[in-house]
Amino acid sequence: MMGAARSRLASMEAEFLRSLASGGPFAAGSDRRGMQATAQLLWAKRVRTMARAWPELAAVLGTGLVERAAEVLAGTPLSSGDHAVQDGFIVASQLEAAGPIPDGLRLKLLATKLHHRWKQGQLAHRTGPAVGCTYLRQSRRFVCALRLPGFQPLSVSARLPDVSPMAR
Amino acid sequence: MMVSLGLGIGWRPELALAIERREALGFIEVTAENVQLDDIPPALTRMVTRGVPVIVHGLSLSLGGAERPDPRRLDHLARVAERLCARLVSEHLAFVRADDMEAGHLLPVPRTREALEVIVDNVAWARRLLPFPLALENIATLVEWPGAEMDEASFLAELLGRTDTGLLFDVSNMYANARNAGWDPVSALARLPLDRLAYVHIAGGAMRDDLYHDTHAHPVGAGPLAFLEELCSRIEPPGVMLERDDAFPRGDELGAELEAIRQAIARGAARRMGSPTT
Repeated sequence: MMGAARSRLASMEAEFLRSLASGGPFAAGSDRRGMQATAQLLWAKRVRTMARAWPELAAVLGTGLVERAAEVLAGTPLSSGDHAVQDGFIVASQLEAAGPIPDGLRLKLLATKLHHRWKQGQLAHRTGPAVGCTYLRQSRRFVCALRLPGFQPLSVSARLPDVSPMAR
Repeated sequence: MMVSLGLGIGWRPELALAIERREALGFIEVTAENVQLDDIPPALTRMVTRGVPVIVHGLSLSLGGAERPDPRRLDHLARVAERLCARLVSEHLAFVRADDMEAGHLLPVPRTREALEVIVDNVAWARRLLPFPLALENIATLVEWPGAEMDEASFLAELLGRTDTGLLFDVSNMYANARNAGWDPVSALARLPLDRLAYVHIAGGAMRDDLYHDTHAHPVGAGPLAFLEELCSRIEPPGVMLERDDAFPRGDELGAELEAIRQAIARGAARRMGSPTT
């Protein structure tokens, strides 16, 4: 009895949430205006929480953040973990792959990789030690960082020497 | 259900300083999902040390979901409550995930007898694993499920009665739902189990595209304040608290908002006792 009721509720709620996440189509007989408004609310909240967790992204993309997030995150379900961190990580990684990004964003990516790793299709907290390095193009520095569980991450950086052709 | 808490506020890191500076604060409510047990903000610890009563509030149990709440989430809620010396834990009558998808938002449940049976079982399960009293909150929603067999107040009343839980009554949420769907929130008060009232939420909102949004980012408006006054004309709430989650105001603006809430409570109390407002 309870099993059947749970199964029906599961199916109803999954369909409800799926149609909200995709912005429609909405089931016949549903409150279409309410569903539309809720779908917009969910999306706006998703972008807002991502922007709050990743101010470096908003600094790079400005008002283009919403459009970029829509391009990159469309069809990506919300993570069951820290979805704001994951969404920002996906958008920032895509930006990094497309071209140079500011040092601040690159450092944020490094810090996120020190604390998280991909596990079963989503960003999960690391429980073990992690090490990572990145090159900061603007300040011409290599940064390497080590994180041990229970301790603040340690980092060292070195500026690249200026290299210019030798005068003959 | 509870001793008197007075006037409180939802603790947020952005408001920590303004909250700490308030001497006459009845209580604070802390969101469990925002607390890491190995990294509790010192400002929050100071409030606990000062003896300010704490209520721990959950967002992610999904008590209205098709599955029983995750014991790990319940354990986190209980451990946060224990660390903050909380008196009470509260959660929402809502679902937040289904079929491995997260909503990132509180969503309404279908108000059917069959769904009620599942939710009663979920809440009973949560109560068995939580060593704290539990209060359930009504949510704001822009959408209604088709085929509702009960109205919001009746559904909530039956759930609370069958699970022996308290009522966290969000006056702004009910005001928003009533305004958007065109029903009278004041008449719904008669169907709510006000004898189970644990405490009250109030927050600001704004109109957008002909719908009232309970934003928690605007000052509390006249509508929710009037509805709070109506509530207080019927019963003395054990506690009332302001929720603010965005566009955080300065300390003096926050103080003015709390004062407006206090005045609404006082007007309601004066009506209840048949005396003019002071």
